[in-house]
Amino acid sequence: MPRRQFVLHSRLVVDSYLSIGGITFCIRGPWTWDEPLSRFLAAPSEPDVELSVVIGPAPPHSGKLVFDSGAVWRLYEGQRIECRSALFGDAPYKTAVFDDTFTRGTIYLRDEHLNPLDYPLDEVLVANLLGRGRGVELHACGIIDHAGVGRLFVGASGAGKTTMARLWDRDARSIVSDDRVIVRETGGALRMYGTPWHGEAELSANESAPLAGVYLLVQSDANAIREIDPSEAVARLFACAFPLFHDAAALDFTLRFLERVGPVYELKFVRDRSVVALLASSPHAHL
Amino acid sequence: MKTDKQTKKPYEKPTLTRFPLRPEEAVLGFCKSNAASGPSGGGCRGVNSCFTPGS
Repeated sequence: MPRRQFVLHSRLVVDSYLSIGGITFCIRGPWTWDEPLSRFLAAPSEPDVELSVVIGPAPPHSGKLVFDSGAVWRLYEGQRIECRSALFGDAPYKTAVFDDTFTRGTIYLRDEHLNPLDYPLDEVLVANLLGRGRGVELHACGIIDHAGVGRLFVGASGAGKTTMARLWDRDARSIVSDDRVIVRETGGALRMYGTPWHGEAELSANESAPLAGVYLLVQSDANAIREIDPSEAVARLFACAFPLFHDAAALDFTLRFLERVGPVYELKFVRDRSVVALLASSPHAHL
Repeated sequence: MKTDKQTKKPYEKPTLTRFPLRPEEAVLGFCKSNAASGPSGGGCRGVNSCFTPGS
């Protein structure tokens, strides 16, 4: 029947649903999704975040600049994010205007071939949602072993996150990301979530697991684990987080959340599989 | 009974430890040309890298 075909077609192409870090996004409109975001497509459900998309310029505004990332995006008063690229001249190629909670918004695209949630808007949006009481994104490699145990290997670029992901290849049920992992508290326990924002190995998965071990990576000529002081742990984790520097309340939340992520261990490791064996038999992996 | 003087820990001068923060990574400001979409990645429809690669 033509009418039924139309309804079915509408459901397939009109709205997209993504789930990132346990947060469900609904994006209105017929968008196609490339890797890695396509790995995070989800079945339709009640969304936490609803986004509309308009092809065309955003309405003019007079809001003051709140934060300049120094590169692609800037935040203005009124929760307005503008993305600029030399490829598109002086005007923003993408503008997003959100409500105060970042759960409702409209994205204006200058070019219909752009995807509304192309990096960095996707990650900036998630950072704003997490910073408002939901959790923390860390510069980390997240590994779920065959027992379903989640381990987080934290470090800045060059620390060895992708190396660690490759070393765990045979011993991992899933590598949820080799670069960015979300940590949230659910039911009184910490849980880690994969993200689309992967590293050199392009490893990312829409999976999650209870968090059972947090390790700050240090490349060395011998394997060694030591528990670090809680205040040092918070400082070093904060240096590998993506906090909202312009929002005092969000910064406070982030620091208090990181206090609960522990104990935290410094892991000095050799770039071979001996570190996997060490951790697999380690009593440290229980928070 | 111990006096306050006996139970007090010896004074330790406060120390300041600095941990490096990489702002270019922390603010999500840069496209990751080989690892993400956007104007320098998959979403740019073939346009090559336009920003310093991120983390």
